[in-house]
Amino acid sequence: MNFYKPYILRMQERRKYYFIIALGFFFIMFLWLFTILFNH
Amino acid sequence: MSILDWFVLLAFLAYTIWDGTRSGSKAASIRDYFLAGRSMPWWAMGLSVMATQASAITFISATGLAFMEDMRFVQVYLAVPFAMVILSLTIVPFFYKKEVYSAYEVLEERFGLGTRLLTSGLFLVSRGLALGTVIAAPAYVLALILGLPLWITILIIGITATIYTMLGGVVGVIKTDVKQMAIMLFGVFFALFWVWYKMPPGIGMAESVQLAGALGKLNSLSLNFDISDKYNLWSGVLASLFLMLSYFGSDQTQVQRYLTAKSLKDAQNSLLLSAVAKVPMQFIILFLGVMMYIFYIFHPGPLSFRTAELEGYNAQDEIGQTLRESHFNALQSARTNAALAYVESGADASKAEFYETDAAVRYVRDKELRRLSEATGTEFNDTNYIFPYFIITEMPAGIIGLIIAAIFAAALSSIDSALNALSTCSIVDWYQRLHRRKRSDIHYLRASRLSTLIWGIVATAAALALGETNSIIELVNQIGSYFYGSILGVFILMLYFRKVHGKAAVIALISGMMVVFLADLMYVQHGSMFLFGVHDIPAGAQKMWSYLWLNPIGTGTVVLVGWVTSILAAQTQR
Repeated sequence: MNFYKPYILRMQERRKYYFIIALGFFFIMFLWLFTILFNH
Repeated sequence: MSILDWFVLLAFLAYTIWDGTRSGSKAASIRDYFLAGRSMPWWAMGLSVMATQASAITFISATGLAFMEDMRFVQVYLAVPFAMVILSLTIVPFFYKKEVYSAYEVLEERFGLGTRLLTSGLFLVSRGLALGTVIAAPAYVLALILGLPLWITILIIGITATIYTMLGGVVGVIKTDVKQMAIMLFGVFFALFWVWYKMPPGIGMAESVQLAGALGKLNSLSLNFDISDKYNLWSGVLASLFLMLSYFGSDQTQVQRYLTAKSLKDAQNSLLLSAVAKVPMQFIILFLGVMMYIFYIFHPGPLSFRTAELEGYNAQDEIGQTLRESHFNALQSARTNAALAYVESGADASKAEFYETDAAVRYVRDKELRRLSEATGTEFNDTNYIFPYFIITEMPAGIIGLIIAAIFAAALSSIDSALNALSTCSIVDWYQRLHRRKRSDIHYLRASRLSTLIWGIVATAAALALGETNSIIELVNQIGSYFYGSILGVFILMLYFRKVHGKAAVIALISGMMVVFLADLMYVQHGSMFLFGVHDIPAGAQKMWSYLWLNPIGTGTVVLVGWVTSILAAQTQR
């Protein structure tokens, strides 16, 4: 296998990865809101 | 503990050994033994990845940490979703297509045998000895709960893990990890339910959250950018990203989970499971710690949660102890009343009153811990004993056994994966690679079983000798942590820097570890920066870099040094 060949995603798979990245940002937002709303 | 609890605990251990070993007889070669014949589905590997990461100490310490401080520790895991996406699209397809056994195997093709043996050797030494701590730390806590001598709990954990890992191979490891993860999750959710169930009438979830918020215990995100602060959003997302990439992408204990996948998609999905579940799980574990704190506002707790081992010290000063306890109990009941008043009125004045009474309770507890440190001549800390104390004193019979089984499960699921990974590297990177004569499949399979057994014995012996070898193990752990960011740098050089050759990679790896070593010796005092030797650290000085930031420093140095060295080498050749 070529060391440098990038891994290419099909459209269907791409959605899954976008979802996980969005989830990563959601976790940050959730913790931020949780702290603001309840920690006082 | 009742007989029922002992029965549940022993049944769990017996079942684990049976379940782990029964799949081993099918293995005919090391491909079956180390890679499960590449047949595993994504959910089993995914749960195994999570179980491997959650050791008994992260399980008990995290609840203790939230009890003592707040929930900011959860931020360390915020990088996991991003790290998993990056790994699934880069190194995972690469490893999968290469059909490798060990993560360090791929380094040989690019950088030569030296780099492979250096990285694999560093992994073996650091992981092998660190495993001693992974066995000993929960064994300490379990010895106290079960009232057994320490060496017995060490042997129970060490022998159980070694037997089924040796006979069952990676299939046994993954199969038991799945069940151990289920027991751990049950333990966490049941404990959370039980805390809620045992709250006094009028105190539900909403009131508990209100009280915890008033004490600042629900603080779970800090936007403050400070490189010497352990837990904030920036260290959790930026610095921790490098730790997670390195841990899941180049540490054999984790890489081996997804090398067993039946398809590339399964390998990727197994990592994405952690991306989805890791942050919520850690959040719930920390939330449980906070809820236990609220629980002890309404059910007066002890001065120290490490009660059993202190009877000797306290008996010497019985009157003093009685006075201290009655003073502490008076403060606790003042706090209970203030909490009830605050829940009822919600007024700012009663909130301030509640905060002050809580500060008084905490002050007395801190003073008691300092007194015990002086009396015992050690750094006395009861963080890891809070959750076990709660289990033993508050939970119903039968469930106690099950939750203690969950602590064993958390310990075993980390130890079995490490044993299996150590054996893989010893056999594939060293024995099979350096042995000139090729032997039969059965020979290598037997050698793999033997090497798992030897690593099991080494780790258990290291745990038993921990008192004497503590400083060696600490040193090795530290070297291991210098290695983490740097090894990631070597993998980046391999994948993305075509011109970097073997010697440059070794020079880069060693420079990366040295720079991290120096960065770890940097301290800040009165706003100025100092570089200190190992033994002359002044009191009050604070480490300049919190441990998470050492990872990007290591990775960055390796990539930079490797790249520059290869350019210089190319120019001298011309």
